[in-house]
Amino acid sequence: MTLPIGFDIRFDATELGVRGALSQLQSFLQRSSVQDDDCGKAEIVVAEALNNVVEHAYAETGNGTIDLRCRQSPLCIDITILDRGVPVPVHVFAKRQPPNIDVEIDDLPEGGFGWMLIQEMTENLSYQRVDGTNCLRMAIPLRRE
Amino acid sequence: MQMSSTNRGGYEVVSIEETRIDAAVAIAFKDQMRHLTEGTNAEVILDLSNVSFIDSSGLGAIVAAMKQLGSARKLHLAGLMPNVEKVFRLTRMDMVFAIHTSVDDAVGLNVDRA
Repeated sequence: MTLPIGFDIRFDATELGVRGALSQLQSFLQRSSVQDDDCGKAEIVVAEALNNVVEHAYAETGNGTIDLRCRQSPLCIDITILDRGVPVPVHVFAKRQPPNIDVEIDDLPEGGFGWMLIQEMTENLSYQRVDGTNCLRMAIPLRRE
Repeated sequence: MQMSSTNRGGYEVVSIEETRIDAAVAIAFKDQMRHLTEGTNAEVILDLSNVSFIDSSGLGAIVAAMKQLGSARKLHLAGLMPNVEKVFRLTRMDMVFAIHTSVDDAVGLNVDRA
């Protein structure tokens, strides 16, 4: 049986903190021989989830930290994101559809793509709030040869 | 944010010298695009061949840049790397832009006009 391998980091809930975390995630995935396409998917969904924390979780207090945990198994990359910010509203997890692009240019959306991308590329997305901590989990399935 | 622009074959080619258009630089990207493209009426080709990552903020900023040009000027995209192309495709935004393999391909359309 192949034992899962992984990493845990804590960083500031800022845009630059997120860049650093994503860079460490990429190094880890490449060292673990994850294929480029799967590394790419992981980076996108983790970026979107972390950006949401930066934008919303600590809006009231101004700063805070994020914990990112990653475990890799033969079948998937398991991601856990923890923060101590405000609770995530339930409506955030409603099923998202791709935007309607059949509109005038001026009416095209400039946002709201993040959760759609997460839903498209992950499985087992779950959210729990425990003891003042937001816990978001998701799995990125790995392409099999 | 490092970007530069040059005129080729009647198009304004804007080259992004950074590897990421993400939440950290989305606003700077929008501002600089407006600054670089407001001086002319030419259609714009955005050269993304150095960009290996965009997130939804980056995508939103590119949509905003297109809107800034107005309906008479098209925004072309060139040199999309696979992980960037994936974001456009999954959000269906690939249908909204003219996407080319390279800047040469994009400019090649204009050979007769020049």
